[in-house]
Amino acid sequence: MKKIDFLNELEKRLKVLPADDRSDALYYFNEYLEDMGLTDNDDVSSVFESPKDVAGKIIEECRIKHIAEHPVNKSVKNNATIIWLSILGILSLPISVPAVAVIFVIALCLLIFVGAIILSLAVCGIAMGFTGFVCLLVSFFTGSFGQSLVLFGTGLMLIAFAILIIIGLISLIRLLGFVFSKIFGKKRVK
Amino acid sequence: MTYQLTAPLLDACVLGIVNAEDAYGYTLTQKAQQVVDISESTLYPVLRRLQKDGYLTTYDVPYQGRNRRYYSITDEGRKMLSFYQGEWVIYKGKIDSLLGSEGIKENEEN
Repeated sequence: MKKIDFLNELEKRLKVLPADDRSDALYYFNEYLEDMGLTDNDDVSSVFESPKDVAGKIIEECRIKHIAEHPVNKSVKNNATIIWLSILGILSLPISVPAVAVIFVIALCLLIFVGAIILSLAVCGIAMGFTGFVCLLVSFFTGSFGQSLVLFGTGLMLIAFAILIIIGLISLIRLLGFVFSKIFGKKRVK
Repeated sequence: MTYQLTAPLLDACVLGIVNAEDAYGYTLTQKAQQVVDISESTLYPVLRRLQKDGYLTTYDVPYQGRNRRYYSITDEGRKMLSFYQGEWVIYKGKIDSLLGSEGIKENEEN
């Protein structure tokens, strides 16, 4: 890789850092290569690791610095910066790209799974409740007393089931909300 | 090299080099590489961190139509260095006692 390409790619990969961190790093590496007597078109592959790895190290260092600077101040913006820098740091390592993809897909699957359960429970509950009401109504217009009793009982049972399902659904959603807030709460403490 | 250099030890080494003489990136790395096994890009994050912590300061010196950024140690940096030196002596002594090196044995005999 040519020196000029190395520096350009390094700059691109350091975009996430504040401007003064970025320019300081580029200044350092440019000076370093000039001190080795290398010009724009000379090959620098043997000097440094890939721009990706070098940028990864610098970002990692700045991330540590960031956390050390704001141990108490937990504003959302700072957290976002730290999380963002962490993600970029992870992504800059070649091995972890597939790992991140796997984690992402698993998270997506879980989300779809939970969503499907909630949706099916809701549909079930509504359908049962509706059918229950219909049974209750119909029970008043049947020919025999026996039929009325059977339909009335069925209607009550269905409505009871519907109420149970809806209560379960609400507590499930509450549980999910609690789990999410736990996860986010932990991230903030770090 | 058999033994790994940990981050605080690397900080200490950099402070030691700069304390002896102001240096720019390339010579700093050269000096460190004479003793320890580090890559060409290892020192930059260390220098940047030490600079942000106020242990090092930089100044630019014109050289052949461009600038060289020299690193020099601050008073805070000297304090930190003497702390690291003290820690190192203690650590070295403890490791020596575990390894049973000659120096320790002689001291015990006296």
